[in-house]
Amino acid sequence: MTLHLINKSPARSSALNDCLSVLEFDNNSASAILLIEDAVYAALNRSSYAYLQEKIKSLAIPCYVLKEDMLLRGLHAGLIESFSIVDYAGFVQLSIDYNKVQSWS
Amino acid sequence: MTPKNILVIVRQSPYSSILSAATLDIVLTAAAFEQTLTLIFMGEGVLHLLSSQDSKASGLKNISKALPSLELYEVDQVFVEKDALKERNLKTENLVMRPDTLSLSQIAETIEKADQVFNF
Amino acid sequence: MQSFTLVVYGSPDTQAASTAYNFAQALLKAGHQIYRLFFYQDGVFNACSFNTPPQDEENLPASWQTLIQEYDLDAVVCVASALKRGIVNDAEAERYDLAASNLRKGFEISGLGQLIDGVIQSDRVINFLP
Repeated sequence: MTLHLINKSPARSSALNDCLSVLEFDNNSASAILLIEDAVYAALNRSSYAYLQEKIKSLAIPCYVLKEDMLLRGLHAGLIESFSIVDYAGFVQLSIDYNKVQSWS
Repeated sequence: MTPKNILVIVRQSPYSSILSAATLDIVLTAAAFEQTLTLIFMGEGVLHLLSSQDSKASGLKNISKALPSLELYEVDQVFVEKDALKERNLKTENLVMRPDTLSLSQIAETIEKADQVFNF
Repeated sequence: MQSFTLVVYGSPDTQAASTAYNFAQALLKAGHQIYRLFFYQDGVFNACSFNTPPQDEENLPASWQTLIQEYDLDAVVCVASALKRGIVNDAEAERYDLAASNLRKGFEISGLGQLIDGVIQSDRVINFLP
């Protein structure tokens, strides 16, 4: 029951990749991922990050994208549909819904 | 009050990030507060432990020097990711201390059990 | 109502610092409580009172100060990180014979133990990494 908070683009950091390699072994945790700051680029549809999106899908982990950071970067049209969009109020609520928040940079 | 289960994960290489310094400080402070501490070196983070580090020519502080002192502070739950050593052609003999190795599935388990994770 | 400790590791120039600020505002608006703001490593620059950014840029340290004073928040700056980077209060400026002090009103300087205390006492600790 961990909310994994990722803030770097997969092009710059192994954060999302490392997080997923741990989650792969986390069989019944009901964890989730929230992409903020540059990590929102990982949600670009039909991008070279499709392999990460497929992995998230295959692990059946809910993945959220922070709305304000997505809008800032002009991505509102091209995001993968299986990810959900939350604003800061949703970010606060997610951090309460899960037992703890782990930040990966 | 029951002690919190605090997990510190080090994933970044030793001389690239300001967070290397934070790691040891947080671990030692948490130990002083008598919390339950676990430290895991993952990915490039295992390079913190490489015993051949020599800082003389660089003017920087040798990060590996302080690590064996963890045992003095009774931080005995120190682990390295098994695959991270293998991927870098390293063995525990190459390290400044001899931590037990953990698989990714054991790391996942440790994360789930922790009350708080610091991931640097 | 849940209590939070927010740990800010990035200078006001990083988006991480501004994310922490936005999160703080959102959680207070939702009726939750901030047990402590902890400024660590380069995060201590958020507590500097000497910063004078261009007029078209947000002055994040000033915004923190307003938030801290409005909600009477506990805002702790790590002493080791602060001294190393030249953020000092009156007492430290005198002790090290420095030309001036530059810690913003509302912030206080204390030890890393305050972060561990935050882990022990609050429901959630969120790390805003640069």
